[in-house]
Amino acid sequence: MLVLVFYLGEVMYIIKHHHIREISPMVKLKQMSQAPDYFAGFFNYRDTLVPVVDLRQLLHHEPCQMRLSTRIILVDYEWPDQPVQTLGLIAERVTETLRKAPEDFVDTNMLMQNTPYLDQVVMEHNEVIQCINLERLALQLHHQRLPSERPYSDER
Amino acid sequence: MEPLKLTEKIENCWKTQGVWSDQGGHCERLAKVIHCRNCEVFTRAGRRLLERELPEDYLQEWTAVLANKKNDELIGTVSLLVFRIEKEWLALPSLLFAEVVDNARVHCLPHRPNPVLKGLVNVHGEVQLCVSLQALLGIESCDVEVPTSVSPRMLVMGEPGARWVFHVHEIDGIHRLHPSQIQAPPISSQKTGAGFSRGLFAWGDKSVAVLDDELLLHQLSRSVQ
Repeated sequence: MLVLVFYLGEVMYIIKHHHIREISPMVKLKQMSQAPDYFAGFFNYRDTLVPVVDLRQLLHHEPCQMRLSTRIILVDYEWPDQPVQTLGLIAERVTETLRKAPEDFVDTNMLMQNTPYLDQVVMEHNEVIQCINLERLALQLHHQRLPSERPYSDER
Repeated sequence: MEPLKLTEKIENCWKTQGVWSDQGGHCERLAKVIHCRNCEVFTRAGRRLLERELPEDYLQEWTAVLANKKNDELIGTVSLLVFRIEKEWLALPSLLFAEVVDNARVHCLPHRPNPVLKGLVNVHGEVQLCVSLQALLGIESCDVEVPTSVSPRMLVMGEPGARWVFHVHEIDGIHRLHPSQIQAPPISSQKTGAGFSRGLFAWGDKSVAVLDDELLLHQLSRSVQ
């Protein structure tokens, strides 16, 4: 299985390729006032408006550094009861892919309430790499959008 | 990793002691990796190039490029020659045609009262069979107002040794079409030559019938026997 490797700060992460639509270079985003800090803005992606999330801000509470290797990973996702939508994820050092067998993915069996999307890890050269589950990440973002149910400030 | 400034120098050992050095490779690592491009140092230097800060205008340029819709060219288009006989617009694969020639005199064949076989025609000094697609397809004659710039032509089709020449009233040109753009002909069509048409497509304000070239060539050979 093809996985995309990227970094957030000095921490390596991978995501499975299934939902990835395209990797785009960094672009100017339309920022929204009052938006949570992990929401980087809207991306005019081929004439459609795509919300973009700064993954490093979401996981590590600091923004991605703007380098040439900092890119937007565009993923397709079905919000519950809605047609397929595209979501942008900003990550650092998006330069490599790896091939991993499905049995290389190990469940952590430990779901954090705030980060349910970090549910699997992969061992590579005796290092543990966290795998981001795109479906759960999108679902989490979807829930965070509903202000009455889960206030943003409580997420932290 | 600290961000590299654009002016920062990267150690280029592959040029001083690697395969691109003047004396040839004398690096210890080379024995193991054979070529610098397999070496970790070289890979790391390449990766570090991507760790530079964004150049000026980078964001603006990419923002403009990615805001535009992608123009996906359809793969597997076919080239069709579109022509008119009376008021019927027809199309055949352009590969079938050898050339387009000016109208020439047709010499009738005596004792061959065949409406499809019109006679013989001289094309560049070679005698070729001249047929009437109009008669074969059963297209009725009618008056069509055409601009004076439109002139009738003859089309030469088929392989060398099995050429067919026929008259057309107008040639629109060669168009590329994807098979998905060609609709199946309506089964109940009473349109002339419906049995020969493989499909229909809309071209501007006209509806063009794509003819079945194999069936057409087969019927032509049969009709002159």
